[in-house]
Amino acid sequence: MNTIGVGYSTEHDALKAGRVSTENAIHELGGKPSLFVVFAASGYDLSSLIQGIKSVSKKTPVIGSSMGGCLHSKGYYAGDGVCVGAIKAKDVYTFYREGISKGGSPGKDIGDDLWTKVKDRKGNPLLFLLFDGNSPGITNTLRDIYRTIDTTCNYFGGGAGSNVDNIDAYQFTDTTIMQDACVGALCFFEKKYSTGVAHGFKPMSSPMLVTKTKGNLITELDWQSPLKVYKEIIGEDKPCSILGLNYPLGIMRMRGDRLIRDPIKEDGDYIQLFCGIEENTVVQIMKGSKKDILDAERSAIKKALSEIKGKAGGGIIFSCISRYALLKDKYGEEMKIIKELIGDVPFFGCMSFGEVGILDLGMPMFHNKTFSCLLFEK
Amino acid sequence: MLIKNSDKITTLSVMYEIISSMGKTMDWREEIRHFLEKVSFFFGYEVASFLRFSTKKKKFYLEEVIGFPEGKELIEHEIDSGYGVEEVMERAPFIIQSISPKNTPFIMHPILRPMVRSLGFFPVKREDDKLYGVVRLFSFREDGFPDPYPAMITSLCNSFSLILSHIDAKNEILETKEKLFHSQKIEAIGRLAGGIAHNFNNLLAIVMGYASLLKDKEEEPANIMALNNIIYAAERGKTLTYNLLDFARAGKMVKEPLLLTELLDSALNIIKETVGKGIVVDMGISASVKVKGDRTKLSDAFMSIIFNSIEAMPEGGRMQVCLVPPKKKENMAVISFRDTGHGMNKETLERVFEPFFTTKEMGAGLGLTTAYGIIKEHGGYIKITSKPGKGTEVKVYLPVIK
Repeated sequence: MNTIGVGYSTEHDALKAGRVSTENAIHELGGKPSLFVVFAASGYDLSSLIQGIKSVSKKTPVIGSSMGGCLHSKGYYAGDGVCVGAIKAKDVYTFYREGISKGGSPGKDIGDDLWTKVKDRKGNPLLFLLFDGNSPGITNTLRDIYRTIDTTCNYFGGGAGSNVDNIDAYQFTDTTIMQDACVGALCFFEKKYSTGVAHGFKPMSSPMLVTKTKGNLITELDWQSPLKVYKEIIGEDKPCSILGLNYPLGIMRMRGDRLIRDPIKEDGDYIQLFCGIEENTVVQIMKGSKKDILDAERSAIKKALSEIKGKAGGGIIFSCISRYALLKDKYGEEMKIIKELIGDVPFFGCMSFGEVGILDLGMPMFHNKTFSCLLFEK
Repeated sequence: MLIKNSDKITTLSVMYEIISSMGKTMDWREEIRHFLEKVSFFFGYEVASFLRFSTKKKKFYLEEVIGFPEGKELIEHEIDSGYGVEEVMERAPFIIQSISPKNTPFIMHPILRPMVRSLGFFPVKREDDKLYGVVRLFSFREDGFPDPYPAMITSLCNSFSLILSHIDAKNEILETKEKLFHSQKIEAIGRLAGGIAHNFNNLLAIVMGYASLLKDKEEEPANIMALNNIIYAAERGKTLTYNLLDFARAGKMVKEPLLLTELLDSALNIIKETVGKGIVVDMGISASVKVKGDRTKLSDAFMSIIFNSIEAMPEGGRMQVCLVPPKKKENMAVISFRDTGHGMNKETLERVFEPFFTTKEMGAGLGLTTAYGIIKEHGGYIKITSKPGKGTEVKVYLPVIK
């Protein structure tokens, strides 16, 4: 039996799309799944979709999210379609928390609930997380989960939403549809799995200091108006929402890699980022060509493959929606590379608004603009 | 070693970012956690922990850990750092590269054992060159500590120690302020109580005098009984005012050289009779230490403290009384009364010397108040530490004479 089976549909009748894609996913898995992971385009009526999925999934838990697009072994749909992944694991614990930006300590609550289960681990634990990409509570929630669980449990997931189409992002389980939420599953796999995360953007400016911030806003960059500095260095006077796709900000780390932070729009003289940034952070403006970001995809997949003896039995992909916007008609290349490297095995994924994973070393972060993959051993 | 310009920029940026993020909360625990997270993020370590060094016990204790919450269960417990403090200090920064899973250099959690490939110990030294603790970093890669990481992390730990000493100093000032406020408050209450007690005592003397006169002339048994009650109540009032005067240091004292061992012995002998079943009293008062003081008052003070301890153990327990002679070049003897009773919370502890403050149903709230005044009048002081459910220790410090 495979570890994953994938079903998909572009049927606009949500009930039917849910039912058909779930049936196909089970069929490809070739056995009883332990969890269904669902990515749906934002246009779907989620209640009907879930009803359709449940008519087949019965009591098996379901987690999912509305995304900017879906991708799978046979193709991709930007702004359209439903993808259902049927996953086989030894043990699965699903959870959700609404209102992660409304205070309290949602990350700690999630972590505390899961801690006892991870502690008695039997197999290879993976924490699969789906966030509302528009929620300002993501970074703190992820940090608090990490403070409570640990690095020996791997982290993988992403955010729902889009800076390209400004869609409404929803997260759901088989019983609840919500926003500003984190839904997830702690899975214990018998087979080995590995992850790879990469973005491919390279620095194009000298380092600058974020001298003042306010939430997700940079209000001062190098003691000057952030928007003026940003646009001057890039040399283009386009809106931040357009420039941000090609020129994100990068936070330096010692190994030379950069954590990407995406400018998504301007607010007066300020730059609004996708995620918050601390004052006194040193950043560089980054730039990525189509070649660079496709090379990054290759390196992420190769890194993951190297940890499972070079052969994958299936996988899950989170590819940032802005990669689709950057690659445009070359997005097919991204799909081609996946197949080229992992072969003809079932995989599915989404065009995400932020990705959760470990960039090479250390702690899990909420990334922007990355290609992130989770591959299961064959 | 020459560093490339591009690497130099990264190095300086990372140093700047970590250093500028320090000291934002000025909370010891939060600062440690934040520092470990920053180091983990920028240098890419999977597990980072801070082992606090106890100068008293000469051991390391796990204070905080990032990336491996198994440590949560070890907090407050001693952990094996694998090395003695001297070794860590001498070899600092202490890096071990290429650890094989079969040959970990010291006891490591079984989940971490197959993963950790290199590790580093970085001491966080105080200004006096003693240790605050050690930052311990685990990497899942063999090359977890390439140059210039060790030098950078050492330098960051040095900056971090300044933040810790700053927090220490801040806490010390706050504690001193709190103590000062507390002693001023007690002082003020003492003056007030002393004034009232003095006048009240005079009034009670008048009440008792007239009541006695009337009693002598009275023949009606019912009236004699009523007058006896008045005299008895006035006498009780007098005892209370004497206690208040002791607290306010307004009572008369006859000071003479006294052997503390004798005083404690007699106090314990008196109390032995009242100690209930299930309470064990241990005495470690063999040292011969002399003080100059009022025999009755000091005995009263010790007995008040002992009574409090006994009353804190209604279901039995253990009380230890120890007399520690002064250390060299010091002149304060310490008498420690430690019980295994119900203990006190912070709020109770703060008010324990206030007159008439009591948590007991039948208590007058003057026992420790009186003891405080008497000991202070003898040039000493009292320190109380307590934990709810764990017990209380009252330490009486008294100046000795030769």
